[in-house]
Amino acid sequence: MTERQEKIMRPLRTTSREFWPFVTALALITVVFIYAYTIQLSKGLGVTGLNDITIWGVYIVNFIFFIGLSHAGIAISAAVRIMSLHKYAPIARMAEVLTLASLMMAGSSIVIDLGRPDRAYLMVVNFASRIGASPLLWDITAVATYLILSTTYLYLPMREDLAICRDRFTGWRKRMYEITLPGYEVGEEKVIKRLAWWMAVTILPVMVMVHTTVSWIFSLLSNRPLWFGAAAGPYFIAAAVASGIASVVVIAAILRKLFHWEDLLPPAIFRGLGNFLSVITLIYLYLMLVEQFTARYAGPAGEFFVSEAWLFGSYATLFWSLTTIGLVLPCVYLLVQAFRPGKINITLTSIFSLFIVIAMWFKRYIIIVPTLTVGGSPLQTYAPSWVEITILGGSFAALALIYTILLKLIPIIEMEEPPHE
Amino acid sequence: MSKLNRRDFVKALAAVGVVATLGKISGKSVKDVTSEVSRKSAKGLYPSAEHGARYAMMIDSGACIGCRTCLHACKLENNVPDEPSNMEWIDLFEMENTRPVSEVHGMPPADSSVDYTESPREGHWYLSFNCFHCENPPCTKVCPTGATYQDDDGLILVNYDLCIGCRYCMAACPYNARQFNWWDPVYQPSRVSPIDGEIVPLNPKVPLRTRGVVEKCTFCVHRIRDGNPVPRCVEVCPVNARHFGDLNDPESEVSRLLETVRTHRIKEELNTKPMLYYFTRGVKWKDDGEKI
Repeated sequence: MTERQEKIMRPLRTTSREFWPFVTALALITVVFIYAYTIQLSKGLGVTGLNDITIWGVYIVNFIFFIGLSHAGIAISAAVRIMSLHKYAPIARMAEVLTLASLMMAGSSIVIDLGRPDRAYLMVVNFASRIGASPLLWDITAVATYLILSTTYLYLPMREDLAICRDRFTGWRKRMYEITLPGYEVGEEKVIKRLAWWMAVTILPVMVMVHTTVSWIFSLLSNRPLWFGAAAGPYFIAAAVASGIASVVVIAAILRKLFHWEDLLPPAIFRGLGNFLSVITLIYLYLMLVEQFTARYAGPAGEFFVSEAWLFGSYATLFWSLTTIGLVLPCVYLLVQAFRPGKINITLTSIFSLFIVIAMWFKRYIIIVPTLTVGGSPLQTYAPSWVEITILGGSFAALALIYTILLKLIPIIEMEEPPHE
Repeated sequence: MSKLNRRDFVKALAAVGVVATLGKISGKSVKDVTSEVSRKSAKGLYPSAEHGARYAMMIDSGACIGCRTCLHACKLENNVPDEPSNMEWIDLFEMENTRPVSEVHGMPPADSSVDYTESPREGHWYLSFNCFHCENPPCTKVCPTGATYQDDDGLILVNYDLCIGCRYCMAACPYNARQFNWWDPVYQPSRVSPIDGEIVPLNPKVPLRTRGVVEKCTFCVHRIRDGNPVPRCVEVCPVNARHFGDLNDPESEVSRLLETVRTHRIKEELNTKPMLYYFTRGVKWKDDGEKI
């Protein structure tokens, strides 16, 4: 076993003292989350702050947010494969695991939002007759396709590493890895590499379409100001890629520190991701600008009043803090860093990336809620109830829990040394 | 017979898929296919539709005095839950010039005819909404299960047994005409009729809803498809502000009204072609019930 492999397998072999309290805390929050959901299940969606005007809230925001996070994984690892960006190979699997975990949370967010989750199967039963009409069903189809493709895409190239784990461990862990490796043959990597390349080619357009269909759920409704519009797809994709890449930066920085992977995850990776993130955030800010400009210059009633609520009304504090602290400030920092040669500050880069991730959650909130509340009727408002806030916090804890468990089971960095460019 | 190799198998699979899809939609629009399935599955919930009818409602917003009799008669007729949602299929807004200033709820006095203490208030007029039963409905299109659908006579109905409560139809409705059962439906032990003060039991002709499903005005489908000419709200209106009928019948009240009065429809630019027409004969009501 090489030194590199030993290093990568550190989280699998050793467990620090802090690990168990951390996992217990996450598990406890997840239990509270499940408890809050059972309250909602037994009493009805009335326990949320939603009403007949503001029909969607935190759950739908979560759904869009988690779908957004999921984009980073495939975007990074498919780009690594297709364009041979070997420099980024060490973060590819980290990002793919994030994709998997956040897609799970996105799926559960949709189910949590249903009034009759026991009947969710009816979407499958009536699939043939409804798929031609309902954008929600298009999206569920797209997300399911994406989940299957990205799981396969994560699993196939990982078989090689799982085989190394199988040989390295004994006892129940050896058996566990054996179960995950049906039909494994030494030397199958060559075929799998070609397969994975073609999968990457397939998966990229699927990724684009997944977030486009998410945007279509909203942008095809002609009665909803600032949802309705042809540019929603690119707008949503920009947000998705920004939040996804930013969260990968955060995760990579944490793992780097935690497992002393300074040489496995060189600063160049963070510089590259930061540069890309600055550009995509800039594009997003530009899209916000053109959206607001259209809404305010042309000023049709719906768009204008929702824009008023964003910029000067009851959502102004949230809007301006997320825009300035969450988007402009990180964007400026990353741009300055991009143009300055020499060392980069990984801590600051990841903190500003975290700002972007948080800002993107609130941006989705700003997209969903004011359009319903302001555009719907002047007479009803919305504030999330404690159940919604618990479920929100619990979803993030569950995401972290899934990620931590996977971190302990699979090598989060590809063991094979990336070829030097 | 030669063995099927993998390539041929994939080809055959693709061909079957294409043929099945084309066969499914050939000769019919997507709309036809989708509503056909919904209509079949909703059988038994409502009386079957009369072919060739095209129901419409016309509201004389100049005559409306905001008395809420329609609203409460509707609640009793259609088993609309009372608490805790306080759901109403008819929304009534008190208007000042062009803007709504409040939504009017609450039961009018049981013994009243036209003499209400709270409405009409001077300088205000009243605009009521229920489901517009659009000819081109945005709500039925988006439904992921086909729970809400357009029937042969143009009525937009909800099959409560298919609804999964995603509320997508509510997002798509430009008129906020749909209501969601946020809680378990609760009915007050004695529901008093605003017309004669009598206690009204639940209507056996109208299916009860469960928590977590969407409901809305049905134009009293159980009445109009079962011999009764008009929905309950039209029947009880003390100032005759509501009119109902079949647009395809030239002799119906709405057909004749449509020829004689000036009408408009709300949010016409969205191309929903609503079946709720508003008109006014140009009179306002003062506090004492006299016309200005």
